[in-house]
Amino acid sequence: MDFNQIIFIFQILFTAAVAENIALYYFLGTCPLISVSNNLRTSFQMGITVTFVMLISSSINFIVYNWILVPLELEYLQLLFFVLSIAAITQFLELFLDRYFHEIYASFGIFLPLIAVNCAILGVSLFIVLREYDFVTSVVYSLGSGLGWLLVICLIASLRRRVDTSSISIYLGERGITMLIASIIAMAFYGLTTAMKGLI
Amino acid sequence: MTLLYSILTVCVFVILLCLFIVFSEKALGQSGNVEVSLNEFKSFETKRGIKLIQALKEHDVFLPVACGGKGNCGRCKIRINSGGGYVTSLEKSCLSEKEIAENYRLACQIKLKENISLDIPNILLKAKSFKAKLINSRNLAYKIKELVFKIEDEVELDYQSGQYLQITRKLPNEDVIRAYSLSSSPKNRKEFSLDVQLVDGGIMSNYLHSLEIGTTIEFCGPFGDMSVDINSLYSTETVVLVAGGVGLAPMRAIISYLIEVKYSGKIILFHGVRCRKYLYSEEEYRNLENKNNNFCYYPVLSEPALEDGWIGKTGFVTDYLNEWLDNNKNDLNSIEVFLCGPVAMMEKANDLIKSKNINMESVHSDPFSF
Repeated sequence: MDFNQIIFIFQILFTAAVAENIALYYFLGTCPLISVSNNLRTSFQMGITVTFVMLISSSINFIVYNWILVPLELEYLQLLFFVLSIAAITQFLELFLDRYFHEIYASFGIFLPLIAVNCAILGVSLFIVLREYDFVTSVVYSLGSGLGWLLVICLIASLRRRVDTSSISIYLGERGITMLIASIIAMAFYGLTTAMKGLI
Repeated sequence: MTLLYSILTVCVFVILLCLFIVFSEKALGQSGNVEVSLNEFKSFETKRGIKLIQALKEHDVFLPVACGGKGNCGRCKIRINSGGGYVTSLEKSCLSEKEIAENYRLACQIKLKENISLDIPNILLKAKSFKAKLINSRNLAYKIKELVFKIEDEVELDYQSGQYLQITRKLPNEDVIRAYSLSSSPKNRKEFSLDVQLVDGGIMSNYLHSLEIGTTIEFCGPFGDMSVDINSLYSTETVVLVAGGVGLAPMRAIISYLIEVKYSGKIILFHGVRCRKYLYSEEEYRNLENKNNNFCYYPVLSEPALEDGWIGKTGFVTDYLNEWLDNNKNDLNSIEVFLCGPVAMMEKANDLIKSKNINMESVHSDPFSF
């Protein structure tokens, strides 16, 4: 692996995690982002779980796409196949962790089944196909996306602790102010996108 | 043709995934038995992999589950001596760090994977599941009914005043579990009564209010730490009861019990409600106050309506409790306080009692929420 390749991989990782963040650039996985981010500790656990499942599911979906769908010329069924395999993977992971890594299972708790309906995970699998990444790049991309989502949910959770002690308009409510917080962080992240373009 | 081809592929894929899940469940799932020992004298074997609360229920040990085993209410808290596995994240949010350090766990969150030994308070071992028939139902106040039940079979209900029962209503999608305080004196072990307030959209309260006389339903209990026993009251000179709304139910049980056993100390009852239509047993307690010098009754309305013609106390019940505590500063060492009402009232009352330096061990509470 030469120097340029390492730079490219690092670039993919940084773009996925920060500049084109899955939660704030594409606004995917917003439901758990808003409902779980009321507590920093649970947010961190959710983020770790999402990263973990994203990494595994996108690698398996890469194999499903390239080894099953492409040879059979059924690329248009990718959405259906990805959804099914994500559901099966979360089910399997739950059984597997419960048996062999009970500590991790206990800390994931209720979040693992919730992952099956997190669209950020499906989104990452679809983006990998769309951008025609190879296997290593797709693993790096999914890891970056997961870490980016973790970063954002922890940022929002930390800011939301301030919300409890501030007086917020009742018409805005807790969810409303969370959306505003998310949009303001999104703007800050958007600034990084332009910075990245300047670098390249 | 393409359509058939794609449908076939999807079906094959789904079948493969299902087979994969079924096989992994077979390979990774739990099998065999584990041993559960209770209080070091009783033990039984049960299937590996099921929840502790389920295993206990199968062996006639009933723990309170106000939330239906979702890990929200924290009522199934028990102390583990050995086994039990790792503390789940849900338990960490429900139990305090001190409780976790002392090996307290939630029975609804423990999956049995190894032999386990645990302590269950004796008071909980009395709880059982039984059937009772509705024999009387009368209106106490606006939207509040007193339901009298008679226990069927040979079962006797051995409870202490202040405790509560659990009712399970089986619906197609879920089991709805609610807790109701016993409002009758524990002297009669075959009959008991519950005060039920109708809640808008309340699944259980609507069901109980529309229950026809003669219907039999299933109960589980008694539960609750808030209980009164005359033997523990020998050094207590004053019993202070603070009730909010239908929180009067356990207080009614406590008062009738104390009157029955001829308790010699003072009984002070504060009852806070919004307006007069929610105030119940008023006449009964006013009569009792006239007859019995040791009994004091303070009904308080927070928002009396114009038509109530109320000339009594208005405001929050906690303000009058504060006033009373200030007037009886010297007797605070020998009082026992019982609180039952909405969470907001309970928090306020608890803060107030703490600020008066009353020993928290003599304060018993049972919060409720709809």
